[in-house]
Amino acid sequence: MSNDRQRLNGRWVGAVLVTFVLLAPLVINDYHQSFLLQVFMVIALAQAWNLISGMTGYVSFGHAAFFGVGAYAGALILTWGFPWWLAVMKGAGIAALLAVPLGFLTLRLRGPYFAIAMLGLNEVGRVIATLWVNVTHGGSGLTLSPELLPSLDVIYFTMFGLALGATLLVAWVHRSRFGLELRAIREDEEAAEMVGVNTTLNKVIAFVLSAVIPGAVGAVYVMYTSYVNPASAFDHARNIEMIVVVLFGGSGTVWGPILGAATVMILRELLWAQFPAAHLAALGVLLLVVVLYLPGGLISILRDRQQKRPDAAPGESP
Amino acid sequence: MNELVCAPDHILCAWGLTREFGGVQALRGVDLHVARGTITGLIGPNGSGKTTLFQVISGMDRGASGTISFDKESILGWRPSEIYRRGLARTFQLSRVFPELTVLENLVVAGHRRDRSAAERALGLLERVHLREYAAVLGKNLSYGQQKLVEFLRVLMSDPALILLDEPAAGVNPTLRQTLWDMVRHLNGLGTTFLVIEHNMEVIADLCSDVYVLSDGEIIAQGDFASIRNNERVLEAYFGKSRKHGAA
Repeated sequence: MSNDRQRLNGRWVGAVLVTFVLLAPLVINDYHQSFLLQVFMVIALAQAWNLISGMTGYVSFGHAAFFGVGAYAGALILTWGFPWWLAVMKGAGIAALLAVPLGFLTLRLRGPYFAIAMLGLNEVGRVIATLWVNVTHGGSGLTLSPELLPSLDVIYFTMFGLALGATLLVAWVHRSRFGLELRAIREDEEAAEMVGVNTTLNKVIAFVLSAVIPGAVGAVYVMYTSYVNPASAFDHARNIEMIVVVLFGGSGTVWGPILGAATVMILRELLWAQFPAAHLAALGVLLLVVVLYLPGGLISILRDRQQKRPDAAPGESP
Repeated sequence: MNELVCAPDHILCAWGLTREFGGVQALRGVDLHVARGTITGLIGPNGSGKTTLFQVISGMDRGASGTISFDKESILGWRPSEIYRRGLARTFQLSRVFPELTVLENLVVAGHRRDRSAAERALGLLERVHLREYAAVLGKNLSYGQQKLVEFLRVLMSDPALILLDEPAAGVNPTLRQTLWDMVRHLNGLGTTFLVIEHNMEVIADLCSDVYVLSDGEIIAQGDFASIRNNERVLEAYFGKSRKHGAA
């Protein structure tokens, strides 16, 4: 199958999914709408993580910090009476402003040092949110009254827009010269620098882009929960979730995080209903199996099938 | 203090390059002058500092002191990517193709950002070495010799004025090796300057108009191959004192 045909198929799948998402609120109940909203959130966060960690190989254990910052920024903007869309923009903007100096500082570190620095960032965010009582209300958190919040449909479509935007961004990066340079950095940073790639600048741009998305998602999520406290904003489990979803689906790919998010969320929902006590353990075992036997993630099954087709071009991949 | 000036017919000049690693002097005041349009050899026993010198010139190692002038610019302390874009490229002793990028991507990433026809140019280069059918193959799936060749083609993507080759033929089969040296000769004929680290003295004798000999971080001899092959210090560096005394 030619790359053009493959791209066309991808667009068809995308168009069907978008149509389903747009029509879904008319036919599904609030519970299922909330579930889809959370799937969109996980897709957006996973794509953000994918952008820096999947593309450049710099594994971040602290992207939840940007989510937390965005959540607090969004909550405060709403509390002060500004419209919801400004809260989303503010969440993204504050995360970007934070990411620029942090990127220059932390991206000098490599491998586990970068991962641990990012983990520390998340903890710093949690401690600041706890101690800055006159702004964040400390451990008690901020509660948003219903009249400050948009409807569930608005939150649903905004979260969907973020998931779609993040996916389109990753798709563009994947096909662009910038994405090629990021992948070269992932393969061999010194050699990339040696063939003219400004590795520092590229990494920082990828880092800022990957921070903007969780910042905006955090602001939208706080509208959905109408409450934020340090533990929920800077939840370390959210970092793990981003990593798990991307590894499950396929790191450094466009469709991997979508496939991973959908699979993990549906499995979690099913397992939770069937085995309330052991659902996380079952999910953990499943992840272990995928990581051990499918290091390229679920997307690698599709890719292998694609490459085994008699009409597949060499090097063709989803 | 007199300003150090590189002669107009020299593309690369280095004065007093010194590099220490924890008390060990890898380079001791190295002076080097590479004339435009030549192929200059850099030889020396293992551990003499040849690769360190390449690391310093190419900006990979920015901890050295001294002066480097490339094409009238003082480049010591520049980032490797800046030096590359200025026209100085290098290959590595051990192949460093990007394993998960295709051969074509390996080449395109090394082209100038504004070069809209980078893919065409890359395919043209692959055609010249009969590797065009490998364009969609991942770098990791090439043989070692092919990887070295792709790495060499990669640096040609930016049309560099000076190329540093670090043992480009090591581990490469004779056919590919011949292809490589033929390309070096061809490009040199078009005006590209080369500085080559090579252990095969026949190649050095055949290709290089000027040869520098590095031993223990110092330049101990310089000249054409005929003049350095019988140089006492060179023989001593390569074969040790016993050889010299034995010969005496």
